[in-house]
Amino acid sequence: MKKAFPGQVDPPSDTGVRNRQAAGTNAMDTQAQIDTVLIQLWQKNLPVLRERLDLLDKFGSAANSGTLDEPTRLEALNIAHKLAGSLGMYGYQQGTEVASKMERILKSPTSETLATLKSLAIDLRASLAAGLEAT
Amino acid sequence: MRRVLIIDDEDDIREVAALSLEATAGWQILTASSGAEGISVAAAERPDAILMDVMMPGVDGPTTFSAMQQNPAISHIPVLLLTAKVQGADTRRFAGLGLAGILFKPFDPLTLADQISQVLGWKD
Repeated sequence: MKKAFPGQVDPPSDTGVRNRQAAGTNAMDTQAQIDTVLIQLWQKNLPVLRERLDLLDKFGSAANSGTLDEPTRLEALNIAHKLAGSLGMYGYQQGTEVASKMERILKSPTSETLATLKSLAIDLRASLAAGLEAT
Repeated sequence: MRRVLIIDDEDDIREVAALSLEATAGWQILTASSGAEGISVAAAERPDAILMDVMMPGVDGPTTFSAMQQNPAISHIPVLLLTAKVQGADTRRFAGLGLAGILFKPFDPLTLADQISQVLGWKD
């Protein structure tokens, strides 16, 4: 991919607690330490995550019915952006990809793309099912 | 020892990034949850670099960076923006600001310090 910015560093293709492989004992210790914190943070942030998923469901329904107003679109955009930036860190790369897709749609919406928001919100929740059911 | 200031409104991003940089590189980490707090911490602590989120409530990352550039006490500190990757246009609009670099979320906690060192040319 062409870099748009001289200091741009692309994200790794696989990220998160489930996909990383560390080399050497120190790296493994560090990975274990980070994984422990990631698991704790995931649990701690589950209520916020569930709330955000519920809001995206609601916004998807509003988009389907043509009642997604501008403040709501911006709120949905912000939520999608936050999820796109964090889910992969926990190992949910697919969640990041779906949230990124929602963010792109909400940034430059058309009636056609807005109609897909609801199903993307469902896809997003499904991609996180393992983590949501773990508690 | 390197000292890095992380500015992000998301608690989990701050915590993971801080732990990551401390554990993998041994850097001392300072944190702030808003642009205004970040400017204040940067002025008081003079870190070696700043890693800052783009989309924050109130004052966003690029606006915070512009404010930092107006403050001679901290304008020399290299700033890297940290943002969720969406479109090339989003990064192109940062190109003329004078930033040290841009990194993308989600980041890999095991390699974040390497990415920062690579952009800033830090060898140690």
